[in-house]
Amino acid sequence: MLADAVAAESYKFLRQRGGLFWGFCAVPLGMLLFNLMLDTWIGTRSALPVGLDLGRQVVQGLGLGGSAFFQIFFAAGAVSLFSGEYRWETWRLLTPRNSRANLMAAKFIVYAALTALSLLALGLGNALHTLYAGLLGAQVALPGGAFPLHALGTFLTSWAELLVLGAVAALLATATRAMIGPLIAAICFAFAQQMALMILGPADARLHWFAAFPGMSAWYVRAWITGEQIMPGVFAVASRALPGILFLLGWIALLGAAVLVRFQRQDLPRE
Amino acid sequence: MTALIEAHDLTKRFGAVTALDRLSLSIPQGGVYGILGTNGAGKSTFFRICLDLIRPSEGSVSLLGGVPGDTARRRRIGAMIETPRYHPFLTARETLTMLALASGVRDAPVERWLARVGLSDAAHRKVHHFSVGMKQRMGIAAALISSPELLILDEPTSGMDPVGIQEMRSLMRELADKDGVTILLSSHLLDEVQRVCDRVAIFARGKLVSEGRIDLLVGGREKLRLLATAPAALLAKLGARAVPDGDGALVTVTRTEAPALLHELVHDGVDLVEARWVGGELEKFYLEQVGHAG
Repeated sequence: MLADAVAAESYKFLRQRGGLFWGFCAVPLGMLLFNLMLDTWIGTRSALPVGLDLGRQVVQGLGLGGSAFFQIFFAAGAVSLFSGEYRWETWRLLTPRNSRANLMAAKFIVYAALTALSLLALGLGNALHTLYAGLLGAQVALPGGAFPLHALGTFLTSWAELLVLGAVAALLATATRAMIGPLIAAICFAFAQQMALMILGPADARLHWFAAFPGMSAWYVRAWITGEQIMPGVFAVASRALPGILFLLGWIALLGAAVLVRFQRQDLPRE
Repeated sequence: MTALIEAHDLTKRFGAVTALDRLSLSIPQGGVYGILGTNGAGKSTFFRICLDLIRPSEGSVSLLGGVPGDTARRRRIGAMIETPRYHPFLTARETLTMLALASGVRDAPVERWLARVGLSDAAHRKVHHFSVGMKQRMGIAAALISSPELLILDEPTSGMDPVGIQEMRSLMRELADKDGVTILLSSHLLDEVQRVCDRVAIFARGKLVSEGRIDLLVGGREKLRLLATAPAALLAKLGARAVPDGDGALVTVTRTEAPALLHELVHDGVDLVEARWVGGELEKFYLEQVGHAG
């Protein structure tokens, strides 16, 4: 019966063009167009950077899910998906046909699939613009041996971070039965983490508790996977990255469970 | 008589408001069952509990032999609750396809149901732009798309034109008589309810105030009103069985006895101008019941 709910949800959401485009297509498409225009503009006026690393560009693209700016769009997609039935009062059409757990799980699955595709499109878009830059004269280095691990690890981490964002949006949507409020709150959630990350910094040993925040965990885990410096001369270490992975998974499980419990117990006299 | 829905001491409170107050009711399988009541009497709350949209504060309800929370049982129900709402970005055809998928029905007869409710020409249009009457028709198609055993219709003819109302009445009787679907109907159009329903329950302030077969509920109350060219002669012939009513007479007689009475009057030379049943309207009975409860 979960398969029925997923089939119905995907059939429905793929026809919700506004939510689908702005939530999950605008970011990779916009980034690709922006990068291609930038390559063209720079390429026709001066020399493009020498030594573009194709693998590094793809990994950077996959890591864009951690950007608060791009999370605005993913938050919009999530809220559109999770608030829609309340906004249009259509739970009454769906809840008699499948279990509430299945209906809500189907929304998570569709959101997860779309964010995964969106992230992959970001990585692919970066690859395309790098190759395009190569055509315009930049020297493009092929991916090294560590690329698959870096790409997979970055993808999974960004994906997990976006799943936490989706779960936050789902919980807010279910709790408030609204659309605008959860959207604003989800965006604030993304930006608050980004600002805290910038102000407090991840390497401060006194702020271990801060590592429990999903944005911080994801940022640290990505740095550990790719081996990049988090501060000048400071590298991420496994002893803090591995708990970060657990924090991310824990947030997804905790928030997801809260959404399911809330929705299971929710009266729908009016959606 | 097998019961499809059985409610026992069902109570639902929304804060300080008691929408259902220890309601006990048994709805049998087969036919069309009407639920009547004023606005706020608890009809929609009862339907929503049956569909597991809301949970009772106290008491229990049995649905097709199980609890409303059982999805497999709920899937045997089709429902249209209050004004139907739809996803604004889906067409009529897409809406039915999506709902069929959610119900686990692949290759649902979407076109057949659209045709049956008269929406074939609008299949490609977004439901959001439909008129109220068209949305009602769409709601019935949505309720029927999974071929349910029990159909719950809350004000299905609201906003429909007279032709549409007549078509819906025919469809409901057809579904009940030919397809064996049990229909649970709520409507404020009491004349329609009397025409289409076999049994009714009347709710007032969340309580059940009356329940039973319509003919038995209102049957004992109707009288035969006769009008003749000579009213005095008519009253003289009828004697104690009749009382004057304007220029006619109200006769206490059963429907089975009526033909013999009319034959007797004609045989005795009474020139009858009109004979019709009065006082058997559901509306009068309903207003009395609701008035007593209030």
